[in-house]
Amino acid sequence: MKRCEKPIIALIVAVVLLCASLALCACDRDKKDTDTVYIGTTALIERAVRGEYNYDMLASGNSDMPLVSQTADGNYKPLIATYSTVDSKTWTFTVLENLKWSDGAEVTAEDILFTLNYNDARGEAVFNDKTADNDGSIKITRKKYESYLLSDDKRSISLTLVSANIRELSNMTSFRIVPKHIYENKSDGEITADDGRVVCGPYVLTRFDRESGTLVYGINPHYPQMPTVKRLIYRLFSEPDIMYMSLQNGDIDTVWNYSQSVPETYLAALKANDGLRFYSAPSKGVRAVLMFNNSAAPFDDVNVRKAISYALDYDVFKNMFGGENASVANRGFAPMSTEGYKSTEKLQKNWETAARCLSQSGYVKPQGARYYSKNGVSLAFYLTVRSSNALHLRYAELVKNQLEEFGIEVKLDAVDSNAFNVKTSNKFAPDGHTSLAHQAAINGFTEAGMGMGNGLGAIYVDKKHAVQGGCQAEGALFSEITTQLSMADTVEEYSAAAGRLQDYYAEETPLIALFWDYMTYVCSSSVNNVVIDGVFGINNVNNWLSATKA
Amino acid sequence: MKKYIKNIVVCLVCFLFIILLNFALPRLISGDPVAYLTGMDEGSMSVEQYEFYRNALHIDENAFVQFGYYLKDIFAGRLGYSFRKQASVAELIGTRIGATLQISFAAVVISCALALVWGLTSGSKKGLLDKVSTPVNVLVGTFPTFLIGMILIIVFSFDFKIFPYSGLNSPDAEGGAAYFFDRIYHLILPVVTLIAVMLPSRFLLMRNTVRTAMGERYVLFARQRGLNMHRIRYSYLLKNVAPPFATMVGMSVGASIGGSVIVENLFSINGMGTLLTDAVYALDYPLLQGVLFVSAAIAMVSIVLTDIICIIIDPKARSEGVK
Repeated sequence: MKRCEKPIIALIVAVVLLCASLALCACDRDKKDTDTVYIGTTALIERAVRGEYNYDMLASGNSDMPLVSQTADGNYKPLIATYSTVDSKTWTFTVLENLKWSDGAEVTAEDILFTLNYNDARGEAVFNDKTADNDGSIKITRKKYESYLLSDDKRSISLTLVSANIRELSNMTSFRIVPKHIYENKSDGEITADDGRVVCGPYVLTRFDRESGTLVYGINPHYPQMPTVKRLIYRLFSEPDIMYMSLQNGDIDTVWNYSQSVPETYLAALKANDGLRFYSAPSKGVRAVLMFNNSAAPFDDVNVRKAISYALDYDVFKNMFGGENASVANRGFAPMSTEGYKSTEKLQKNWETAARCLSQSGYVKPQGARYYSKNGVSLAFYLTVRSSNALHLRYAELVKNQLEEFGIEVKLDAVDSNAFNVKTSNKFAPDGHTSLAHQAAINGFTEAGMGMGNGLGAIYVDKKHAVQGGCQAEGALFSEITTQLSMADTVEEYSAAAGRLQDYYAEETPLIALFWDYMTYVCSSSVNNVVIDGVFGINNVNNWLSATKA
Repeated sequence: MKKYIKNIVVCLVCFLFIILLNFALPRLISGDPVAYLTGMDEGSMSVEQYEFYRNALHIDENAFVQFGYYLKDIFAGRLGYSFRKQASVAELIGTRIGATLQISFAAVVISCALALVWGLTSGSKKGLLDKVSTPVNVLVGTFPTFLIGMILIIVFSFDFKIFPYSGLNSPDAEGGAAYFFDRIYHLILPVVTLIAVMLPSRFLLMRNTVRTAMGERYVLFARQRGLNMHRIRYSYLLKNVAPPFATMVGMSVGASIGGSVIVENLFSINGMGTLLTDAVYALDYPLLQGVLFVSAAIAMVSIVLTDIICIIIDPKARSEGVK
């Protein structure tokens, strides 16, 4: 054998061995697994323990379930506890029979009480709405519960609210409990990753593998009901393009991101695939919101807010960003699927009305001038937007283009999420919650957010809200309506108050829904009996208890 | 020799400058250094938290004392603390750097080896190979990393279903030989993407260097002596093109770590690239500084090593030193 032939032969042997091993790997890859549902997500998960926001949202749908769930048509179902109330003021939650933690311990109502206190101690708005004062001390701004009563068998807890709330269950759709027997007497630093993964849902996290970018969930043996699908594997993608191609390719069965519909840009391509099924439900959230700071110039003037509402072309927003079922929103803001919805005037572009509104406040547009002005000062404002949210940046650009064409100058204020929170929400505002620094902002309200407190997105509007309050609305009328909402004892009373709030939104225009949309979810046609949740979409406990994979 | 020693000294000075800049920039930016150094807005902190961070970061000490603490942190191997991720930067980088090195090291070695052989062959012999190779490499060299990666994924993962396209392992992979081969299997497309990005410039450098050297008298004499082209390439040309080749390899290391940012995102690999992306999006300055520091350190070490290798392999450089 010639000397030069040896390396060539060695190379050939190496290539053959590599090909053989790769062929084995490729064979493995083609195996179809009917016991496992693969879910793709672009959520950034780093530790996969309780308390990491993205992980909490993901785990809410399979293992660390909330107290109750809300179906796509707005009805509630017990997940951890059944519920009852006589007067909407005292709510009794009774833990389901035989419900156990994944370590075998019994789930009790004490866990519910412990979690309320646990969250409260960490400044979360559970027992009390809280915010930091100037000196950093915690200030209770509104008490939520008056008292509680545990039953003797520790299976029920009765929580008495300060005032009746017929929508209390809405707050419980995102309320998850922690195991008292593990968390009690432990500081945050003492709680291990394993502690953070003890759950009471049908599945339990069996493996979090950063290298493969997967979270593997197996069946929780202590859960009283056996799910049909034995394993859930969540694959973490960095690129949504790759994730949707993976779905098209059949490598994953569905995709999920909290409070996100399948983007319209992917839908056309996905719909050409016969192997996929689509599920649609009217969104209770509002994906695109133009939020005014009602306490700061120029938006402390209702005429300016109204002028803007008539200057925008909503059909463009709907067609450009909305799905096929998207629609132009009403002036009453809350989508049609909202509890207590009332029909109000449709938003529409009408520059004449917009100009009239501005002239009522003394704004004029001199001949040849580009912008409306008052006393020689142009009408201009900063529009704050999250720089990390490409879609919100596009909404902001479109708002800017349309308003500048009409005659209002818009300066984009693209900031990171942290700065956005500081500027637009009371919780992070440097001075507690008296004045926010933004003039107007682009935001998106989740289903859970829209339903919280008095519902109808009121937490984002109310200046007094301890956490949100981005619109900084106040005044006697608004206070009276929110009080009426919070005092409502019956559905009829709530609907009446909700109608008044939507009329207020329509008349005062504290914020604008740029369009209403449907939430569209996609799933492989090999997965049957899919159930969609009103809060968590396709990734929800009821779905995994019902779904089967062929 | 002097040239290489000068290069090494310049490199070390640059590195010290990087350390200085890393320390100074967050303190020079207008605004509160506590916000920059913690990556969090001071508005979202309570007074107690703010004071805690201010003390922990020694903001009230003078600049020299602060720099002392900063150097101590570097030499202790902590590289600072990410308040956002609640872990030391070294710890965060430590968990990710392995993935990045697996991609970039493999890509550097393979792309440089290919460039060497291909460039030597193409540059030493005018013919069909050279006529095809040069324009193809010029063309591929214009493609952005993202496009190359996407094309490879679409063709090899989705159309032919040969290679995986996300993560570094299968979810069920366990230890042993199967795990090793599974890792190799997952590395193929990311590494090929990075090779495709790196190869054209390296090939063109080698090919042009060899083409220039082909006119040198030592090559003509060798040909006159009747030596075959294979021997001329690997015994004569290689020795003479080795210093620029070694320099190219050294420069490739730094470039490949930068290039892996896109590759890691595309292939959903938890490496330093995705860590850097997270740090940028979250404005996590300590982490950003740490990742840049480590990238700069790797690039600097590889350049210094390259210069040392050049001194060893280049007889001219050695003899200059003797004189």
